[in-house]
Amino acid sequence: MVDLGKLLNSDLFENLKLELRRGSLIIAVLAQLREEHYGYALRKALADRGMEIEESTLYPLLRRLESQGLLESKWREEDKRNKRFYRLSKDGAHILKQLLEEWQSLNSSLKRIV
Amino acid sequence: MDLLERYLQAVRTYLPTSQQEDILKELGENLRAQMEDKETELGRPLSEDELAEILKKHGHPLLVATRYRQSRHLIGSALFPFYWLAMKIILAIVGFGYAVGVLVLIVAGKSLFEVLGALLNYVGAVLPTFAWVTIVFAVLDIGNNKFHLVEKVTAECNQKFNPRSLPALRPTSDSAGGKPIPRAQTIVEHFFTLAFLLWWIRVSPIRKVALFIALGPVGLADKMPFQMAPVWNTVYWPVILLSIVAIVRQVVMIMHPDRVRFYAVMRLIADGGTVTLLYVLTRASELFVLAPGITDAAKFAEALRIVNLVLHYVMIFTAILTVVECFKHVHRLFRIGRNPAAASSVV
Repeated sequence: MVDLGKLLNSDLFENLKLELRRGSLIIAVLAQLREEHYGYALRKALADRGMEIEESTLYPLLRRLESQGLLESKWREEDKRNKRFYRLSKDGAHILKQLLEEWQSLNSSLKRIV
Repeated sequence: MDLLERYLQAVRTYLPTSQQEDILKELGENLRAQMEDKETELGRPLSEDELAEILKKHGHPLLVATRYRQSRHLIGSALFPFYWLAMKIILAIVGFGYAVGVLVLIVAGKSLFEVLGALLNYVGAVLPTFAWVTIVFAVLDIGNNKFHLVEKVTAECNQKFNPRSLPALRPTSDSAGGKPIPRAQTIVEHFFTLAFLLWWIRVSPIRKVALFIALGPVGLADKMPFQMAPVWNTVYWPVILLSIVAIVRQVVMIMHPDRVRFYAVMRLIADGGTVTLLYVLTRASELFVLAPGITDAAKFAEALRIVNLVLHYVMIFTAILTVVECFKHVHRLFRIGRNPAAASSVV
């Protein structure tokens, strides 16, 4: 028999985890794109550093960040394939610096609280 | 790779037309790179099952395409509070228009069915009003997404906001005697008081409405066998006076729903007057008499006796209820007197 309470708790946890991860993912993506990457290579680079992210989340996120002016992209051939490479824009670098400061401040506050 | 092409084709179906090519080109390349990566790892071409596994992990085409779309809404969170407020105000204005229309029909001597028809028309007018207000705000939302006017205005209001300009504290919910009177309740009451007064001061179809409610289809007969007894003439002006007292109270309460002490005092006066009038009426031997010109009086005598008897007891019952109401108002005033928070916000 399904334990409804447990199920609701696990759903709640997943939702809260998602909220917690959302902002961190953006910081991770922006930071990783200080070097140029195309979508799949970026996913692998993040995974190698312990930040797993689904493709179906990452690829639309890249387009959104580009439309917000935080990333720049260009199509370029690599290994005989045409790929879209992303890189942090000037504005993106400025925002990333601010976000990192904010994240560090939050982190140190949390450390004092928890 | 046939499976990949089929997958991309399925994703295409759900993507916005203007972005289809660009998104699919990029998505296709990323998936191909992932597949090639896996082939390098295994040292052989992927089987169809392995291809299917990668695509399955990537997600259902509908979900994948949905993530490329920006979240869509008819009216965004910035405009929604204004939309809801406007909706309530406009529906109230439309309702007020119809209420006035109904009163005009009554005064103009229109038939009962025309009056009821006008009331039903309001229900019919609610849906298109709702639709139009929503359409207008949906268009405004599109504009706001571009120019962010609402955000600019609210930011400015926020800057100018002075907490000292906030209204005085309302009675708290723990002081039942000091709770504000809901405006909607007062407005409905106001409408019925006006309708009653119109009925009282002149013979009009609303008299027929009341007779229909009281007597059923008999009340709609062209020539009524009964008419009001002379005792009603005694209470004619006091009833008008009590109605005016009620109207004054209602107008004040519509403007200031938190003036509960004023409300209680006015209700006490009105209910006291009502009990007095009911006492006068119950003392009368008859409330209705046979109308002049009724030839076969014997035929209606029994019906008249029953009508008078029923009305007599209805009035006694109403008088008891009104006395109970009076006690409630006294209790309310007593509670307000004891509760400084409630007293501070009332007249």
